[in-house]
Amino acid sequence: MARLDSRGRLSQREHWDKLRYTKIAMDNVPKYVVGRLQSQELGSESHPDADLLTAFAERSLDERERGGVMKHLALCGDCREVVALAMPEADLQQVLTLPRQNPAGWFGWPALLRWGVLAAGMVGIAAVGFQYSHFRAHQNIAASVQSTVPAVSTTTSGTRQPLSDRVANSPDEASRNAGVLAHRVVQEGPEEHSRDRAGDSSSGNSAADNSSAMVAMNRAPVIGNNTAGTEIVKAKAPVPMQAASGGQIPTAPNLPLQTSPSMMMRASPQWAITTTGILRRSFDGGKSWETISPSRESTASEGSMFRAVAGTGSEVWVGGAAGMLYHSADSGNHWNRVTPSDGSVGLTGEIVSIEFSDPQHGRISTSNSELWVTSDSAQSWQKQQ
Amino acid sequence: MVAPKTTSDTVQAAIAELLGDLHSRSECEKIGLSREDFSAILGDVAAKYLPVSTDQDEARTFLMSLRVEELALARACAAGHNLAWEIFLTRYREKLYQAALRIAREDSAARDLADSLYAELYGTTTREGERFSKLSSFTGRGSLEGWLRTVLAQEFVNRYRRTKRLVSLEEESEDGSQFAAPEPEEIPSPDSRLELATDAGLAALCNEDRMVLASYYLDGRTLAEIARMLGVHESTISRKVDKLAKSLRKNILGHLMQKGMSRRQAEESLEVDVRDIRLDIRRSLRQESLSQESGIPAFSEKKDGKPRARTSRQSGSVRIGD
Repeated sequence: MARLDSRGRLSQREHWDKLRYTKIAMDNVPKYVVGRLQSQELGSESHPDADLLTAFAERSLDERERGGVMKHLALCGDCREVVALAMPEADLQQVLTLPRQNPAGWFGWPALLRWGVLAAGMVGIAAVGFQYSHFRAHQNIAASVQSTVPAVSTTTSGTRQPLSDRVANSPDEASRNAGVLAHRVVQEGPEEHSRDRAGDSSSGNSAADNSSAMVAMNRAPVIGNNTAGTEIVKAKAPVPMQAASGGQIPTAPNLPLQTSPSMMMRASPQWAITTTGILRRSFDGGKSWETISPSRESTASEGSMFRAVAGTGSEVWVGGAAGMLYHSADSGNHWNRVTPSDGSVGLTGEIVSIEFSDPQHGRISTSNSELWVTSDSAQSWQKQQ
Repeated sequence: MVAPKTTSDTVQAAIAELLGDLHSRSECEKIGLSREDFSAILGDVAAKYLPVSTDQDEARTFLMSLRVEELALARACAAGHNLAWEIFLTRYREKLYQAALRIAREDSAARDLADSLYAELYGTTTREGERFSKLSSFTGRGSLEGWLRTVLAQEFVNRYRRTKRLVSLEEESEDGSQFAAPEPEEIPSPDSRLELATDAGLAALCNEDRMVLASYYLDGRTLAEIARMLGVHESTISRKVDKLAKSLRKNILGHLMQKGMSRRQAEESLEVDVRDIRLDIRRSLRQESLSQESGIPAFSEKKDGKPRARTSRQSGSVRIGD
């Protein structure tokens, strides 16, 4: 995939690819054959019109016509040049690297700093684990006496609990939680699943629950939905720790880390709409694409009528003909049809542009010059013509 | 200018059958086109592409494949309807400049390219006393956005040709002749058998294979670019190029051996680069003339960079110094 910089030039990688391929070309086929191939190129004659070349590039010709255009392209360097130059930007500049809601977060950091923090975290885990094993050796007798310990991790509502506040109050608790907390230090980059948000605030959580909560934290991060100061990790009810019930406290090295590059990529899809109006998603930086059909009933015709896509983090909006608008809150795995309306007036025009600065605030432009605005996550819309 | 074709009865019947559906899809009434106008446009498009022998099913399939909404918009713009122009500019103005920038790769050239196309789209020229907009030639076979990019690319190649003083494309019209490529240079063959064998090998290729080969070896396109042109994966093109290069070479060698060459002779003849020979002849002739004027012997460059004297007899036949 060709990548152009801001001045429209090939990227360095593309430039080297081109050089490499040219080198291969010169090595594999005798120059005489290339010369004959060139000498047989067409001279002056009729060329397919722009409509046919466009339809060829968009693969909307039938076999007969496609064969005719292909025959011409096999012999006409000018038309090959035109087709190549006119290839849609869907795979180039229409590829949207979705804007993130919180650019100052983990993924907003420079890569070096990001990985440096990760490395420091891992060193920290190792150090705490080492200290913990020493501590356990001195506390064996005391630990056997304790049956239950309320491991309450309370937080101040609406704010991210400082790490120091999350350490349990008693030294014993601190020691038992050491491994877990150390792991959380690693986990708590920009992303942390809120147990409150997941509705996991019931009392009587078992050790298994606690474990599953940690597993949840180990899942791929969700980009952009958290803002510093709004994410909370807390358990409202006392949670018996595994150690207290005789289980093993998972030590940091045994826990899976969430910050593998592939998982980061997985959480940051790129979106594109082809010139034929098909929505596509990539989780690997644009190397491969999958076609996404937001509507279960969508047919080929409907699925080929999207015009605009936008998103913030895992929130994605895609729209197209006749006011068709879909929203996904999970990077395109599940979609809901949205029908903006302002009083008795609905959005029926073709959506040509979608902009969401954050999940709450968005603007939609239509082909009939309507502007639809929402400031409450699409709960209500205002038409501004 | 080619006289407009007329549609057959079967095509007219298909248009009549589908007009209601296509008309509602096009929403042409909103942008100033009547149902009758739209029907006439469909007739023009069908007449341009459908042969007289087209049956009604084929005509129906063809009509249903048209991008009628964009077709109506383009034709309404060409007819000068303001609302259509507003919609067109809202949708395509920025995209047109972006496409021009990607093609021209330089801001001022891109703006120049896009502006000149805007002038043609708006219709600054007249035909038979009427303003002629290039949008009236859009037929809805592909997307309007893709068509605009293609027209931009054609104009860009046109300008490039003009800059190179090869040929002007201005006299060609939308009837099909946008380009007039330079006459291919005749490459001398060191052996007529090689020429025949190579031509036979190239003639045996199907159109798509030849297009891939030409894109890769002549145009210098990357595998990824060719893959995008053909709508397949890059790895498919990679395998195809590799396979084609091998099979073409094998085919040519087979032809040469059929014509009496040994395998070694055939392989050696394939490695001869006639362009190098011709280049060397030119250089030699130039150096000969210089030496005749100055009275010093002609020199050619060796690979190690050291010049060595050669005779005019050597320079006329084979490459010296390799």
